[in-house]
Amino acid sequence: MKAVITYFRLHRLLSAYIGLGTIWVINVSSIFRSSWAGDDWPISQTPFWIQWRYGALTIWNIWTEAMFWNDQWMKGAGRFYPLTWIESRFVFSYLMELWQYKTYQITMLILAGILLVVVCYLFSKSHSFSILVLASLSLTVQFRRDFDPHLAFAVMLPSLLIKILLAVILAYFAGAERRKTVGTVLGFFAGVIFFAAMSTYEFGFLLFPMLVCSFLIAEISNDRKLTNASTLKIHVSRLLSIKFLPIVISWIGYGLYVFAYLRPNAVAISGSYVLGLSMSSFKVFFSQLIMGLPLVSLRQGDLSFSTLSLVIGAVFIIIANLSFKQLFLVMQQKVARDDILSKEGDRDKFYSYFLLLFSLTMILSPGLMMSMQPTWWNRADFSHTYLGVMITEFGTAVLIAYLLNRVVINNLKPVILKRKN
Amino acid sequence: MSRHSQGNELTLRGFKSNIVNRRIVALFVVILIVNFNHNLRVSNENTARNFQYKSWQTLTKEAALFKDVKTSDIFISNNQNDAFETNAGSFYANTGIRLAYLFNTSSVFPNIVDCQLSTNCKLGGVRQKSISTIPNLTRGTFVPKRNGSKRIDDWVGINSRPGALDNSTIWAFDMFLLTPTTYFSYLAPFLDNETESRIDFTALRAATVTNNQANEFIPAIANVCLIQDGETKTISNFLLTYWKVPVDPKSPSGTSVTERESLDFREIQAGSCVLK
Repeated sequence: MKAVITYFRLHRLLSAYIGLGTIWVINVSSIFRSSWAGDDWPISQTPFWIQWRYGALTIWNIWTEAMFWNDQWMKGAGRFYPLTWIESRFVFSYLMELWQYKTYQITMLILAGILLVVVCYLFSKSHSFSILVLASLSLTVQFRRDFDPHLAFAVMLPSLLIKILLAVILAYFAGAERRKTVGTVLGFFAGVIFFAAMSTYEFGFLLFPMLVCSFLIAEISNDRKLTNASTLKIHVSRLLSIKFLPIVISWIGYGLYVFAYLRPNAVAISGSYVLGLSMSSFKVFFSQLIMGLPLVSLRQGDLSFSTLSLVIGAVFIIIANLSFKQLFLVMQQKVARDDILSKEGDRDKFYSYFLLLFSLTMILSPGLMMSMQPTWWNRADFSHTYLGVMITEFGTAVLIAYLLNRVVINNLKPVILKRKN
Repeated sequence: MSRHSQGNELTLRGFKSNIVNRRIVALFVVILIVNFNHNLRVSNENTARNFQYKSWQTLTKEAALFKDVKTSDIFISNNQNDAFETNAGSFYANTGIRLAYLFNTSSVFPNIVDCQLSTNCKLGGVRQKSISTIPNLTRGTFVPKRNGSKRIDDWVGINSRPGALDNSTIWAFDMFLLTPTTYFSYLAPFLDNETESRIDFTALRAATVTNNQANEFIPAIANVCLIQDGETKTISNFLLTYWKVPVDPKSPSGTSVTERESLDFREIQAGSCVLK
């Protein structure tokens, strides 16, 4: 009988994953309607310039051109993000047709979303929560009218998120691994990918706490005796473990290279990359906190619906209703089970704290970065944001899913109690 | 009733009785649809340059406008913009013709805004000015490394050598949206003259790309209505029409105007004439 119940549970979960995953894919696929945007216009011309200037578009020429510009930015502005130069040059050299590039853009964004869902499952071991994260992504991911990281900028942000989330997954497995050698190897790969993430966009440097949370959640999951806060302190001290060391080395190494070597030696640091603090910093910081909230980027006229929107909207209504019905059935069964077993404990609280910290890192760091850049002090507000907003959107999706999960479970409890009586 | 069916009955009852959860789903769906509509709108807003882009592709891949242009020729254009597709690199990739460069007018004549025809200001010879600008080009630049460091195929370097562009033709060229549905482009060779920048008006060729089934007007240059010199349907289902300067020129108002063999570069202003 247990097997039958498990079968139905998995079937329902799969239905919810597929349903809300389909909504996520359809939502992101609206990128297909766009053209090249922002910096993608000039970057898309790079392969033609290489052809014109050096006669042929060879792999070596593309590589050399990318490295040339990376070198210019390293020496000039003290910035280090070579992977963006390499990725963008190769992508535009081999995906010259608009539909090819847009397919790549969409695929990368979908992949980033899927990885976030995987991470949330690893952290929570709850399919319900992961499914709610998947659902929330379709609400928080909003295209922007100024600097948009979804439609433009050579897929830099999805690429950064994919690497960060891969590093987070590896850090989790490093933390969960009881064998020190295997754990260290996993930590090493996490460190390498984390370095790659920072080398895609320096912003990754601020996302280090995501890896800390991941490692600690895994460490906690190892300990079956965890009962109180003092045990948690022991786990935090495990950040000094050799398994986490490669990640720390990667982080500090990148920081030293950029802040202690490149920037002091840079010859032409533009005003955009100078850091500072003022009263305006607070305004910028707080304005950016909410930029991942659903509908925050709505402007006048956005409530006029096209036929396509209405048709897709009807499809969404059907899929969402079916998916949530399946999801709530599973959640209700779980609530009943947990209620009978009285499973709630300190462990769940600790998971919640780290999950919230993980989510808040993503929500807060873009605003923190912008608040320290004088160039944004008079520009960033509730309508204007920058590329990091995609990270805020992902973090907000986790937070919304977390809150939804709690609300839905609380709503399900009275029914169960009625059954028990 | 089995345990499983008991569970099913209870869970279904639980779901149906849970109004708040149903409201959450309803709210989710509403936000989802509004957000999707917003994303779709922003995506669509981003397509303003699509027609220009496609027209450029049509012009450079399918049109016969550039049949007299040869390698190392120079184009000078008012609307050239390196940030978009209108550049020497894209032109080479599409036509196979490797220009010495496709200049924006302001690069060759930095003072053109202050140098008006009405004030008798002379622009000076275009050949010397454009050739002397070539070595300063930075587009596509990079320092070849390793096995590439010994090579000599830097196109800018090759064209910067003394005498390299002596046989090149310098063309006045432009491409822009004349109306939202018509992309206009012209090409005319500059006359070799070291004191003035004049084009051979009789050799001017123009083309329009329109996404309509028929032309809505006749293009004009320097107040002279052009005459049609052929048309064709393109792969993108655009109408590509060729135009040239007539032997008996007429103004947009229909009156005859004096035939001119050459024009000052600054006189090249596009306009339109009514279709008969």
